[in-house]
Amino acid sequence: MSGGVQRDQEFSEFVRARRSRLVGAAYLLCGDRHAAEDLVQTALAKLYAAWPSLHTRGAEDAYVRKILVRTNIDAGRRRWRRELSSDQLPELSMPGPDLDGRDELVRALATLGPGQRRIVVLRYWLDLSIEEVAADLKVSTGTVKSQSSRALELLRTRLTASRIEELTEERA
Amino acid sequence: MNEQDLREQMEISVGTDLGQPVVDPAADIARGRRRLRRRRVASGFAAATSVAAVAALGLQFLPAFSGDRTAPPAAGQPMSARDAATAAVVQEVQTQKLSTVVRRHVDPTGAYTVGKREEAFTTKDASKPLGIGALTFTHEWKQDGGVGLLWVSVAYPDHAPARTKWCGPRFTKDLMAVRCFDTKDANGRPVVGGSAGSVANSKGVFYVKSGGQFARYERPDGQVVIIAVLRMKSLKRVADDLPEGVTAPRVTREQLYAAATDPAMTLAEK
Repeated sequence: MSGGVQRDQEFSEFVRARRSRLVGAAYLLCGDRHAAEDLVQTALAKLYAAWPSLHTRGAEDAYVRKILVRTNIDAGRRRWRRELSSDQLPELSMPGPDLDGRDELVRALATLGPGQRRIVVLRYWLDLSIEEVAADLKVSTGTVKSQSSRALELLRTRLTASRIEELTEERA
Repeated sequence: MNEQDLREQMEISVGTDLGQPVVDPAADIARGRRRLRRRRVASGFAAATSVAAVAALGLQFLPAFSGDRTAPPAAGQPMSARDAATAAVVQEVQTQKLSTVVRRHVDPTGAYTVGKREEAFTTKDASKPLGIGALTFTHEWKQDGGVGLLWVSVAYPDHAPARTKWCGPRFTKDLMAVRCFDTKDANGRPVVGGSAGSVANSKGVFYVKSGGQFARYERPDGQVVIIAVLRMKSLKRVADDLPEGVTAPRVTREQLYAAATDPAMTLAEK
């Protein structure tokens, strides 16, 4: 079997096994389904390019997770780059992100800080251990524990508040 | 909400919002292959562009880019320490003189050449009045938060890059474009100006305004003056993203022509 064919086969298996989980992770990280798909596409394209050396070391998962998280950070930092300057104002107001169409948990996640959100997604969606999350994000295990606990507390509060709000609206 | 609740809630949320995922490894492979191709092209391109830029800019003094400030003496003609010291002084005096002239034209307010002068290097030629066949130096060009490069070369005809070498070969837009415009000075002598090059980043993105401008002038005494102001500081930056906000160097072709045709732009005793 030639190197290229083998790479494609191994990569395909990886994609079949992990892709939907990765898209979910990206969605929970950025809160936008299109951006999530973009993130995963970018991460997988980078993974494909680096596949031979990573696959030999069994480092595919860690690599793609790292790209996902970093690309998400970069996308946040570089959001302004996508904006085009113009000397004319748009006639219609531009629609903002569709917050209301999203699940309340995703909305609540969006209110967390980026660091906390990453920890939550890596720990509870990708099921990494505290040590793995710490290694991925280059923080201490203590930070992962404290941030996880704080994030859970915040989510609990926000989801409860949201639920109360919904009930209030329904009654009104 | 405990950890288990959160896990379950996440499954529900992602399932609800994203629906049934479409997994198509072929599409991911195609994107991966494209990325791989771009990376290979970009790395090959970086090398090619460096070579092209060296050729286009007439950087025939490559030793200076490897850190040598003067070209080595010819084989069999070892340079004494005293000779070397004298040559260094001559080089410095000439560089300062030429730098002052050029900056007076291209940066009259001193707004952009505030950084350090960088490389200065010579090609030795004992048959020439100063023992210098060519002198080249560079200066940082700071603008809009980025750092570009002012590149100056004065050379005797037998050490100067030919016009054809300077202006060509023409590359496709994926590589490097060097466009030349011919004009004449007040005495009818030819002046060549144009865009000094365009580069792509590691992702293969083409930056229309990433290069700069140059002027090449053949003086009445035969010496060739080339002055370029480039957006990139170093050829090593070819493969990198160019900093945002760094626009084309604020220098006009007329300023470059004026500098290149200035009578003081010569390798002479005075």
